[in-house]
Amino acid sequence: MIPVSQVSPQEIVRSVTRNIERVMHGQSAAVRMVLVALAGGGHVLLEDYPGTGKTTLAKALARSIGAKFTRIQFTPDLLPSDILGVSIFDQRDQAFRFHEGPIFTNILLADEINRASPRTQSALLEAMGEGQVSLDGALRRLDELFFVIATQNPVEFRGTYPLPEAQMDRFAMQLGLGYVAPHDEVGILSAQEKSHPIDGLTACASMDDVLSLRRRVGDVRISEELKRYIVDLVGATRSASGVQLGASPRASLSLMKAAQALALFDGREFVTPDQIQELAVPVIAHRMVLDPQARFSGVTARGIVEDVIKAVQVPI
Amino acid sequence: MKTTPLLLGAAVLFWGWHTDLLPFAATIALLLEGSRLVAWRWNVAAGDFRRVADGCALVFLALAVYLYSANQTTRAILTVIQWLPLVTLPLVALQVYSMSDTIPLNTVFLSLRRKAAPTPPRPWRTINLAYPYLVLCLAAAGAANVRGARFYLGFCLLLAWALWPARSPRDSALVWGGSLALVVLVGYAGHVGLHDLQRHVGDRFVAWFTPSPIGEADAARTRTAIGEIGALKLSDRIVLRVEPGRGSPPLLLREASYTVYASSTWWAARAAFESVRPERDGTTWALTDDVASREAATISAYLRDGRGFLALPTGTTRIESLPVTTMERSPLGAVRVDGGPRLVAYRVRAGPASSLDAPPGPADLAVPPAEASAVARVAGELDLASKSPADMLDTVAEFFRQRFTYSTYASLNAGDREPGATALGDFLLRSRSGHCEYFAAATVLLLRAAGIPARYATGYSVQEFSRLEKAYVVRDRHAHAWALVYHDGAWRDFDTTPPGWVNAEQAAASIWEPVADAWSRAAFLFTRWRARERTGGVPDGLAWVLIPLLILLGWRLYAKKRVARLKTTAAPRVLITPGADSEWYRIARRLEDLGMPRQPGETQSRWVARLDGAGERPLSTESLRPILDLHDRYRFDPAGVSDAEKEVLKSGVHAWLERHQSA
Repeated sequence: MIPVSQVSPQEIVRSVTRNIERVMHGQSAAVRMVLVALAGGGHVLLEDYPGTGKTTLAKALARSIGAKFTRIQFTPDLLPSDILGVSIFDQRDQAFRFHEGPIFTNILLADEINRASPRTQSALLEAMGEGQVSLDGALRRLDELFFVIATQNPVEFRGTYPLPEAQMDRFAMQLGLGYVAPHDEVGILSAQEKSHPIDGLTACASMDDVLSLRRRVGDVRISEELKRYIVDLVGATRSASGVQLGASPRASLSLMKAAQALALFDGREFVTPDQIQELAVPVIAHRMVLDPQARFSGVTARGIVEDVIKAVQVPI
Repeated sequence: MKTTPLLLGAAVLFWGWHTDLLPFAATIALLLEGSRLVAWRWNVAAGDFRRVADGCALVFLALAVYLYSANQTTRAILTVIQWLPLVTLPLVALQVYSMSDTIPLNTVFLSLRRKAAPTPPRPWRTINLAYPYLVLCLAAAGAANVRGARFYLGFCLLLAWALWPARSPRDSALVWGGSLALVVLVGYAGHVGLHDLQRHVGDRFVAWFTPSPIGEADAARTRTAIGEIGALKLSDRIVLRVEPGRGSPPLLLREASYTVYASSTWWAARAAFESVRPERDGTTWALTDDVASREAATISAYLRDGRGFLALPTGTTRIESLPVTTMERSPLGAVRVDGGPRLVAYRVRAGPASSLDAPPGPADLAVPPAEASAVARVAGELDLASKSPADMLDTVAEFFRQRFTYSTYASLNAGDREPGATALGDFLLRSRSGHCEYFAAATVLLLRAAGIPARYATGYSVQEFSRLEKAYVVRDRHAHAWALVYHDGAWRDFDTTPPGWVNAEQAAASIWEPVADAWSRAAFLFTRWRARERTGGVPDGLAWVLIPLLILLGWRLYAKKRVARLKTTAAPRVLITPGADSEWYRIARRLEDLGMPRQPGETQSRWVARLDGAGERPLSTESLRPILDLHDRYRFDPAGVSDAEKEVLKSGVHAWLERHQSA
């Protein structure tokens, strides 16, 4: 039985947002999306150039929630056992003892995930998809709150392994942070004159708050018509020109969950097309595989999703 | 694009209705529309599509070559078009039963196949054949050339059916229907006008270039080629097949006979047709009392449009197995039938001498004045007047056999012909060379001059036995003319053309003749099979071989390369759209009327947000927010809104509209 938090969902979101924005200047849209993913039960992939604050955002979120937080720095020599854990023979007990890896946590920061080989990246598949780890023939369940926030550099950068499509599909959203406005950048400099403000960040929400947030998300109503709209949007990416692999039904599911969460943040009890449209790009775009031909001619996944939004008739 | 259900089937039935191929059409329609009921699909590779397309093209070419060799007229083109839906059926059926709704475009265009494959390879553009096939069906139905409103009406209905799903949602169905009706009317006026224009131009053309009316081949007169210059060439087409009864086959099959000769044309005077009544079975026709007749032959012939003249041996008494509706006979022995099938195969019983022809009259002894002097000269040379009738016939036959040659080529150098001599006179006195019409006409006139009644007969000569057909075949070039003489109280055939004429004609045969014969044989068998199907006869042994083969082929196709089709819900679930009657849409319409339309894909709230402060008269959207929120709840909240809230929405909308009407 999960204790029910008495704090309203909007209140929780507002306080966590305020807490994060003490260190993240000018990134309120990205913060909002990350929280939507957290509440919707999905994982987030932050992709952007080095130094744009990906790790800071992830750390700030982890610290703002009083939950167990671990961090894995992905390197080319990382092995699956470094993530999942390993059984070691105990001389005294004459038995194998399992040492849990960093994946047994609530919030996992997978930093620079595309620096590890696909073999190691794949160790996350089962955990992210099903919240469990099969190891040494035993099934180990992860905590109810298991949230992966991964960062990566753009795929074309040196020394990176692109994530396999199956791994990409496990992330509910992919976000970019982008460079902030000059006055926000000045604000970052000012804040770090003496020390990094993240060191002074304390938790402002408990794990129970987050779990209750997630349960409230499930209470947000969504009509048949809008479910159909989601399916139509996702389906349209499969037949769009220049697309080799369209978005999966998992994309539809993620889009619905995220839309429910966003509606909750907006103080609504039901989903409207606005939420679906707002989330379509971060939820769908990264799952598509484009034609090399199309990619070279400047077509982006984001552009395709935006075209699809324009093309599919929106319920009004 | 998915094909509209039942549209193809309807188009195919429409085609079958117009081309009288309804049994085929019904089968095709069932085949094409049946795909919606079966739960499997073939996994067809692009190569298979290409092979089937090539097969269709070959069938098409074969059909075109056959029809041209069989008809040698422009009619063949129309017939080819009429059969197109059947020829292209395999490709369309393959698409319908394949997993995709379309086929690659390079399947149907050779030019695209030759093009180098793109690097990197990408899928070919595809095409849904259903719509081109629809157009093909309509064109084929049109080629049947059924006059009247039913074609145009059906054509328009099918077009409307095909266009209905693709209509623009912008306008109401009424506007769509109205504009369609307008197009239909304009199209009607256009084609009627075009038809009138064509007829008018055609009439004028005929009036300018053909001063004399063209004689139609009929029993009242026949224009001969007597006096025409150049080669007389008739085609190798097989027109009759004669299976002899007991004994040898009849040598000559007569279609008509004539009495009066004038300027190269034979006329049938006093030859009014009278109808013949069939016996009780409807297919047996007794022409005279059955006296000492024997079974002479079974003759297969094509009737154009179900009517024509029968080729009959002289002395015919009875015709059996002839399913026609009317039969008429003339006193000159011509038998005309109407309302029959395309192919008839009738059994003929014949006696020794003709009893069909009327007894001789004065016309059968008349020699036209233009030919009288030449004929009298020859009669005098032969000293016919002093001989008995039997000797006279022998003398005349001997005269032509000894002194004349057969030739289908008539040359004329200026001055060759004596001044004032007719073509026939020239033949008798000087050239002594010509084709059967010369011989027949000259014989008739010569005998008449000697006092023996004679008539001019046309028809066919039976002489070529075909091993392929196991029967005598009669070709177009076997058309013949000969004399009928009244001797010993009956009309008898009297043929004076030198026997070598057959060989002379044979020498002129086309080298393609065996090919054309094979085609003709296949077409004959097919037509006969169809005719028997229609009359419920037992099918040939061939059918018993074909049916198991077809079943085997069907089974092999069925068992091979199939994949199950995902079960789709029978009818797409109707989405319930609550709040479709929301009052908000009145505001939306008003905003659009004010020149601020919603962009495609834009939600209501973004639209309203965009309009904030926009437009010619800045519009406060602040007051719209609560209304829009209520509308959103009404539309998208599965819990819905209460009646009271609906009222609030309604009154809010009214208030807003009031304010902005006056503004």
